[in-house]
Amino acid sequence: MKSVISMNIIVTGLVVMLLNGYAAAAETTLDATRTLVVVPVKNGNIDQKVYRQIDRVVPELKTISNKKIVKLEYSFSGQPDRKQEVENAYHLAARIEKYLRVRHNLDLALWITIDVRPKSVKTPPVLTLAVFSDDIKKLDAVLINPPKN
Amino acid sequence: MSNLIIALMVVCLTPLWAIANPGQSGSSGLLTVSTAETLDAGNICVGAWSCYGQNSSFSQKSFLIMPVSITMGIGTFWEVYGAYPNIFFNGDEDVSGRGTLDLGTKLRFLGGRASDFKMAVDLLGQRHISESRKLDGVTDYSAKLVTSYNRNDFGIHVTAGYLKPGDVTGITIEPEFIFGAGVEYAVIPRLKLLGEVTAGTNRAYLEDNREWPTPRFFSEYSVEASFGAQYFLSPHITLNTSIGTGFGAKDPDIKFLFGISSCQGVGTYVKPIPTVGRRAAAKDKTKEALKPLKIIPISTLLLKAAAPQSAPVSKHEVEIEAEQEEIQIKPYGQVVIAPQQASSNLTSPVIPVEIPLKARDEEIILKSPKTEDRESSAVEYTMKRISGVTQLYRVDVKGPHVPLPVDVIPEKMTVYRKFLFPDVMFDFDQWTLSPVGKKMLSEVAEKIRKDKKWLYIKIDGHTDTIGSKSYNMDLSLKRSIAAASYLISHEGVDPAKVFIEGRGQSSPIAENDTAVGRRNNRRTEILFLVAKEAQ
Repeated sequence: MKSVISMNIIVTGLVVMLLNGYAAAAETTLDATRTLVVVPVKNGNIDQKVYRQIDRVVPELKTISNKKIVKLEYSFSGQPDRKQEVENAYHLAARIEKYLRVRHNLDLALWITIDVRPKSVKTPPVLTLAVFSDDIKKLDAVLINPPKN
Repeated sequence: MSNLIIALMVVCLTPLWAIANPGQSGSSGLLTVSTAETLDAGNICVGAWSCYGQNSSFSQKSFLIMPVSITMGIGTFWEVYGAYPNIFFNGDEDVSGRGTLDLGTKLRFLGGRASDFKMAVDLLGQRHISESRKLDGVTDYSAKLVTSYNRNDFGIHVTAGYLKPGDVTGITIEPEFIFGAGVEYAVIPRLKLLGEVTAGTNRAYLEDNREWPTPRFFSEYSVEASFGAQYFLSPHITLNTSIGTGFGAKDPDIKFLFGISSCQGVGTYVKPIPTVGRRAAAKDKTKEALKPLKIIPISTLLLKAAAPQSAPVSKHEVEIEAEQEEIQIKPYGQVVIAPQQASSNLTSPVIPVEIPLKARDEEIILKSPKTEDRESSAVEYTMKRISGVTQLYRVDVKGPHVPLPVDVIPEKMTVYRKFLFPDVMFDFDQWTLSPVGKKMLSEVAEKIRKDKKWLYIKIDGHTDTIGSKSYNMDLSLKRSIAAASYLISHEGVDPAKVFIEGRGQSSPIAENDTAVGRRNNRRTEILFLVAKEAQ
């Protein structure tokens, strides 16, 4: 009887852990959304392997409404106070943005961001494509100092 | 039982990040060999393992046990752990060689959390749980020195120690020198391959049976090797497996291990797994040194305070068109902020613009939550996350007592403040910041530091229609990059809070057929985004 109760507790605990983990797995550090793909970028170089992995997610990107925001994040180890590192990170992400826009003719609301991890973290840089939800195109309607008719 | 389930549900509803790589003994490390890592403070890990093996040296040829382990981070360099040998309670633990209830602690005394080279001392007490009356309750003590070296995706770990066996009536057991070595290689961020070897000079095996007059006792050298893998299913769950064999006289012929471990951050400590459990990330001291932005988005503290007064308006700040600047999001808590009427007095150094001042009109409405609403919303929230619908833009609320109204979930972000920079920030057809541009950005950086309400900063680059669409998209993006890089590297703005977008010629604010209009269209905008009430 005692062992049955113990097993019930353990099984319940395992189920909870599993649910918990799966639920958390969908999160990113930016509290974002649905991650489409995470592409390792070895040595910070975009090679054919990276492009191939991006290509795989293009069909899904094409199904995404242009009312949604796509987040393109480049995460790397470095120092945020080194301008060159920060700029290089942005330009690397920008290459992917251009690749999607020009090569695949995608018209996306693509927001680019970078995540600078401590330099001591030796894991390779990664590119992440994720989808924010809902209608953000209203932001496009913003007019600053609208022209007077 | 129902209380237990409710308690577990609460844990389920509040998953936080934690470090997740305890071994089968509970000690952080590989599957068998400890490493000099320690679980970070405030984190707790539990593991359930199953181990099947065959050992022709014993009368019982095979065994199947299920050890469970628990690990707790006590300090930044200190963890305690424990393990129970077999929750199958089938008596197989003796022949498995793992028939001990373990309670240990590990202290890292050399190397920081993010250091490549670390050393720790691992102290362990092992109380035998055995079918043998002679062995049951006997406690062994051991101490190990653990050395770890990690470099990029590769790690090597070596342990050496001394085990003092407990007294067994009628049997003299010699002390044992114990050794271990392990290597790990991260093939991909989520998958690590492991190779491990453990050895002992006088491994004591005691086999007993109620029908036997005296137990059989062996004291032999032991060498076991295994090859395994760890797969990080999520930052919270790790799957572990290995297959191994023994080379000692009484070691198992084959041993198969499978385990699942789960970790949680508890209390107030939250720490993400760095690229899925490889090594813990040190605190980002670079960010701390760089004028940190303490973001306290919105809390009840605001209610107690007087209506917030925003900082003086920059000359680059422009009026916000109320109700036109919003994006749909789904943050966590419910905080309602009416659209900001940011007063403005834009006088660009190049394009003088006069915009009349408007009174600020801000209200904050926090609805009182009902208990049942909170529970039902929490369940709904969890189910959505499980089904893949995840919320965006969490609003972290700090304070001793923070009621989070949940009956209405805000789904919009709004542009709270906006700064417009004319094309003097850059030279024509260039994307390098001019000295004037840097000065302008520094002014906005000051606003970023002073303003406590923004959640994210967005930098948009815009161009006129001269040149192709594609060229202008590239140019506007490069200009956004230049502005963002300056704010991050020179002004210490958190890069994770900054989004950029090249808008090209898609959003003109003036006619492009005149020189003045084109000049107006060549601009960079910096937007402060905050949560907005649900419609």
